[in-house]
Amino acid sequence: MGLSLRGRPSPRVGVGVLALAALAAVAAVASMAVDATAAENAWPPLPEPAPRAVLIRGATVWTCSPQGILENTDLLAVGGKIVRLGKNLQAPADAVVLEASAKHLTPGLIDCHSHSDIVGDVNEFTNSCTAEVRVADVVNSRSIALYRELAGGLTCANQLHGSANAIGGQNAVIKLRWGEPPQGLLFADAPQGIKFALGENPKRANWSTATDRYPKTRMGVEQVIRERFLAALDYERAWQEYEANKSRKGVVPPRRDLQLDALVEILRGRRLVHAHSYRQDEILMLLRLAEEFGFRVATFQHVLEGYKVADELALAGSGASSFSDWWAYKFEVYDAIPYNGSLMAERGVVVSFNSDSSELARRLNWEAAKAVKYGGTSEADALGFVTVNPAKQLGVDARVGSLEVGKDADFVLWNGNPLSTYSLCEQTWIDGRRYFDRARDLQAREAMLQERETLLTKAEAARKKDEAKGKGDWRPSYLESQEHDHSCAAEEVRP
Amino acid sequence: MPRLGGPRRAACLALGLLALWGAAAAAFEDRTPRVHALVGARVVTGPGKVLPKATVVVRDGVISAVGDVQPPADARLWDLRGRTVYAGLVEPFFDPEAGKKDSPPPRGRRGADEPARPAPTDASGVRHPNPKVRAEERMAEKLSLDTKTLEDLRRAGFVTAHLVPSQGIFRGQSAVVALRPGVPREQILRADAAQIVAFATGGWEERNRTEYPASLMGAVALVRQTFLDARWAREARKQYDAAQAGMERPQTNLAIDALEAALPPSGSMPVWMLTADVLGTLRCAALAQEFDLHAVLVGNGEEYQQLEQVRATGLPVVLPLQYPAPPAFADADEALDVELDVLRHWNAAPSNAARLHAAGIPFAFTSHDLEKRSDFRARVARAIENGLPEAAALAACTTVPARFVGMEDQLGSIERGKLASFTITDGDLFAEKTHVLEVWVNGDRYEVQEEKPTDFADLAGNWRVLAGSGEKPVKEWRLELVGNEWTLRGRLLDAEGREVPLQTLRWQQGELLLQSSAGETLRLRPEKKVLRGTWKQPDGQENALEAKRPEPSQEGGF
Amino acid sequence: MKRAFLSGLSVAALLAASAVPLPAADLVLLGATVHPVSGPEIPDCTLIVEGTTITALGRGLAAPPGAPVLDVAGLHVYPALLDANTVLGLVEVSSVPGTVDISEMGDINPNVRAEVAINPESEILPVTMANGILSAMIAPRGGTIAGTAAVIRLSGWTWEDMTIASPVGLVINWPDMRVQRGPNARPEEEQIEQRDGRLRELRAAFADARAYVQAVGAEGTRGIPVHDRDPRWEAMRPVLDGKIPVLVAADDILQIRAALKFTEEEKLRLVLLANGDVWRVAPELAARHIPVILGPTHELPSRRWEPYDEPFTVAKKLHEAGVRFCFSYGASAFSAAHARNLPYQAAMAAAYGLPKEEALRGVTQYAAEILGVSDRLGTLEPGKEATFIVTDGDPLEIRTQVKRAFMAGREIDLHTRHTRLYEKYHARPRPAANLEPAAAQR
Repeated sequence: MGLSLRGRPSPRVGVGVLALAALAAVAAVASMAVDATAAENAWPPLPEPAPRAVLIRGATVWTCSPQGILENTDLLAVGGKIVRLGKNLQAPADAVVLEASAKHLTPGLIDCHSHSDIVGDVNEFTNSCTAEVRVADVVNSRSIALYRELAGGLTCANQLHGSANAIGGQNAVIKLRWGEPPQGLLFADAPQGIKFALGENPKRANWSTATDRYPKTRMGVEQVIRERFLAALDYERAWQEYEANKSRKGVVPPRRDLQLDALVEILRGRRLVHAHSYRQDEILMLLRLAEEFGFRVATFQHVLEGYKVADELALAGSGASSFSDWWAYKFEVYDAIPYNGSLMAERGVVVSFNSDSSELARRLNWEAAKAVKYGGTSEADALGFVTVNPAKQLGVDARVGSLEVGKDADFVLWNGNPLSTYSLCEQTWIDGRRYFDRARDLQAREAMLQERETLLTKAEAARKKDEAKGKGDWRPSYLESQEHDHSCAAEEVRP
Repeated sequence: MPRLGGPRRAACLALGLLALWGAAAAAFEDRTPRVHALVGARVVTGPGKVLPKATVVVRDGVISAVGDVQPPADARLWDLRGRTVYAGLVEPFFDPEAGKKDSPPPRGRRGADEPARPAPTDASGVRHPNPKVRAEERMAEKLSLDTKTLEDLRRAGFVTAHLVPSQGIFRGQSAVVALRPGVPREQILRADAAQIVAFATGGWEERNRTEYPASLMGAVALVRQTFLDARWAREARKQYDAAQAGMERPQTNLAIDALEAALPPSGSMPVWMLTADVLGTLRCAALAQEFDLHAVLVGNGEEYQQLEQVRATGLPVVLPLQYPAPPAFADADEALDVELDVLRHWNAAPSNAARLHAAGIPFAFTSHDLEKRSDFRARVARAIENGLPEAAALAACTTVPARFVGMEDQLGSIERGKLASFTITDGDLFAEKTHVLEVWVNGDRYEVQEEKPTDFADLAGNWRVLAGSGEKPVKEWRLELVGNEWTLRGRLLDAEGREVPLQTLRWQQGELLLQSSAGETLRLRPEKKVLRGTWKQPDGQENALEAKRPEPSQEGGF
Repeated sequence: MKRAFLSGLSVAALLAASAVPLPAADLVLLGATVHPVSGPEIPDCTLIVEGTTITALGRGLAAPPGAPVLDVAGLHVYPALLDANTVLGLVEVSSVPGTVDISEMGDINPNVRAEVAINPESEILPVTMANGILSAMIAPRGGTIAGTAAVIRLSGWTWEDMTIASPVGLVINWPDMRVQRGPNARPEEEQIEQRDGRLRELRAAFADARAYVQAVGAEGTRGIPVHDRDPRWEAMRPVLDGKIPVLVAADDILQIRAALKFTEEEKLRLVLLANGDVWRVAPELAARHIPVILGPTHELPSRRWEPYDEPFTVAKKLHEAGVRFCFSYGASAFSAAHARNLPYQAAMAAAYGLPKEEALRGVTQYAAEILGVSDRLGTLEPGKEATFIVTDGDPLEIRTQVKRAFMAGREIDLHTRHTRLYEKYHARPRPAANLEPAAAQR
């Protein structure tokens, strides 16, 4: 009798059918075999479990703290936290020990402006204000950009709504924990934030098709924001009245409005505003509007003319998260200069460099180097543009952004000075777990290619057998997200 | 040409026609007794429970006895020797509009299966201002299943279907129907069974026409806000009912009001949520938890990729069976563009159900996204080949979907007191050669007409029938047939040209049946241009049969 | 200047007197480490420029008397960089159509030439030169046969002034050969029809051009009339004669294979403007001596399954297979504004395994060789153009500053729009003096 997984003898039918059944059984076993070792076979490789402790020996440690750059120093992390920095540290019994004498150790890099890991459209472009929308609902944990950015030393990223609306959606700060489901990526302690957008994008200046939507000018952008904050104040007042009167009969609470909730949180300092902006006039507009309504803009994003109003930014205490040297792709960035970061930093603004691009996010250490080249920021401070400064801007600097005792064990091992273009990232650790290991990635390629060949051969055989039982190709949703490298600067009309 | 399935059906049809022509009340109500006994069959009363030979007694649409029982004197007897009786299959997710859309819903996309027609807006203002919120729609009111649809479902073996609406994000309330002809009140088993939610959005391509929400996160925000609105409306109405005077009457909004039925603690209507991929599964589960909903997930085939997380949600899943086709590529260069993830999913998809079973996740099968619904059992068979125990497979077509739609007391197994809805086959339900011969829906019998392969010509003519496979046939006959299915007659000659006396020569239910006086049974079915089947001898020995039209040179003798 | 002239006079007098030629010079650089690129670096090197040319370089060379001397001790001299595939000068602000002159309409435009559309005053050019890129190849980009490419200097009074060599190649954008499958794809037949249509059009263009050249060539003999002139096919003569190559833009394996086959059949010289899969055909490229102008190293892998560093290792694989290559920043309008970052494309390749010297050659010597201007540019050798940069370190390192730049012997002003804005706002008075009292009190 032919091999049958059904536990009953097959009827005596032709040899061909027996062979098919046998093939199916082998295939079933084979596919089980592939899946039984799914974790080992995973591509890109999944991280191993976190060791209880990890000791890095003898590295050049860029602390991004007042301690500065420490030569020939050890770092010990236990249970996902940094516990000691010093010389000749002892390793606990079951620690992973990394000899790093020729290497550099930095905090994990932080990207303050990312759209890399979002399922579906990054813009809810149908309204000028969509503060009820939450990026945290659509985090794409399977985005391949996540892994590729890990391979460039990135450990934390601010997933933002796009710049199609004057008031966009709520952000999601994530750690790049490759292999975890979406909930596992969220940075639980990160303060809540929201995206605003000023300038050409929210007025749809670059859409290829004509559109009739208010606002069509920068003036209208201000009014949209103003009107929504007034509505938020009305809403807050309605709730206060309700609270005062709710013991009475016939008193109904106001309808809970998720959009106005978010706006009230901004006004009361419980939600950080990250405002996409370029020109000094719109930057100043929002600064003054914020003053008027009594809150502070947490960061201006891109802010490529920030250098022209650096003092105003510094006085207001707003951070600036900029590109290192992009310019000329739109008219509103024609005055952008690569000295922007250094100039603002000189004037006391907390400056970070971001990527807004899945490609650029892999080399934020190089972006930092541009601050040295343009404007003479020191190397240590320049690295701060992509570590401790974005941490401050996102309100997570108590946990990440520098290598200091008590902080999360988020760090990157480089084979040379991180600001050198000849250096590459060897390992990326988050919470004391190694999420990227170049050696392991290189080693896993052989098996991956073989698996491809095996499956391709199998697929070809199946096609020949006219196994047309499926309907067309399956394209998983996360592949679609990769087709568009969303960026506020992209030439296409996407905002 | 549609076949009439028995006298009762003819009567219903006639009645329907009369009604159509608005005849005077001279039409007779059908009073044929509805007492039946199905005798001699193998009865699978439930997953893993088989009675090798049993009788099922049906009275007035309900099962009155199962087992080794004597048929009651008033019962009509049905000889089901050689047949197997299963509890009728339950389709847990049927969208009657699916085949009629402009283009088929794309698989694996982010829930964008809403056709690009402008949705009707409501001028009277009593509906929700967002046309994608249509929670008040009721399938029970919009029921209109045509004959072809019913036959299509029954051919696949289904006796009951969970009908779902398909427009918008909050799509409305579903209904459970028996797959029988007639007016809606005769079909509906349960009205307003569940609220259906899908994250259907427009996209960048339609950015100038699309309304809020256009993005997936926008759709989630709308769902969240709408459930909050339903809670608020309930609270507001409570206050109003208590206060009556001195308070403005809360606005009426049909959709919001309809949603209250799904909101705990006062409401318990299940909410079925459509998922496009496994991240959607986790996303819907999180939303369900936020509002404490009784949720059922309409799955996507990727569940195995996050098995542990799916299990941890504790939610039941309705699994589609549209396995991906093997990726296409012409040569090694084109093969470079075939993604490893696509290869892996193609390879692993048929084992999805087996893995869910091993992880203890409750699931039912649906045929809703199959190109050909009649492939349903073959797809389930594939899941079995890939590790799903057969009993679990049967459960996923019967008891589990019955439970998901709240009808476990009446459907899903063959037990006294349940509805007399059966699926009757000529073999194991999931075996390749098995056919569904008839289904019973609420105690009424419907023959299932198999579609003949389109390249099969008439039965009439001469056939060379060979028994056994391999090099040398075991036995050979010549079959001469005259007439069509209705007037069929003919003779069977053995290799020496002697006529074999026949007791039966009949075309029934897509099969040619010959029974000789000596007790042999030959069954043949059309397959492309030949007939294939089995030859059973009195001692039980069975051989495969194949009948071909003889070569011209072979005419007139062997 | 006058002093040099007088010195020149005296030298001339000496010359007349003695018949032993003494070296004249317009500029002498002393004390730097000179990197000729064609050979090992020369510490404490003297570099002598006369007119537009380097006349001598070497350690311990004496500076000719009377020449202006530039003390560059502690610094480095490199050949200026050359971006081998750009639209510099043809675009200003990529989102403003009036400033964009990159793609003409229609598919067959061999006669469209890039250099006539250069805006010599573009702000992007000085910004690019400020980081050491002083020359570039520019080309039109529209349709299938896009037009002819030219090599230009990034500074000059007019486009004529700026054009070093033209045409250097005929740009062909190879049609996409892949058939998209999947739920959102257009019907397969439609895609194939469109692709085949473009390929047939391409083939027909070459056939028509050959026919034209033949017919015109037969004029003057008995019975052959004078034919109307077709500017398109006129422009294709140098390609058909083999004087210039076709520059085929193709990233995907199917495109590259088709291009290789086509150029072999049509007997055309080929330079690939390629990236992505080009390394997969390295053996054939090496055998046929086909060079590759690489697109940006800073690219994401085109396929999800590909290793994360695949684009970073393309140059290394070509190098190991013996294929001649060079780097470019990017051919898009967006890329033009950021061409100053060209050296870092090369550096990334070096970080992931390409020998450092090869990376440097990829933005200097090899670029000039592939574009046919290596008689003048790409290395520092006597007889070559005095086009070089003076830096405080390795130009492939971001932190390096370009201190001075020279183009054909004349110094280039490295002030740009960016440095001017920097200086202006750097000098903006600090808060207390310039803010309103209300703001100052906060």
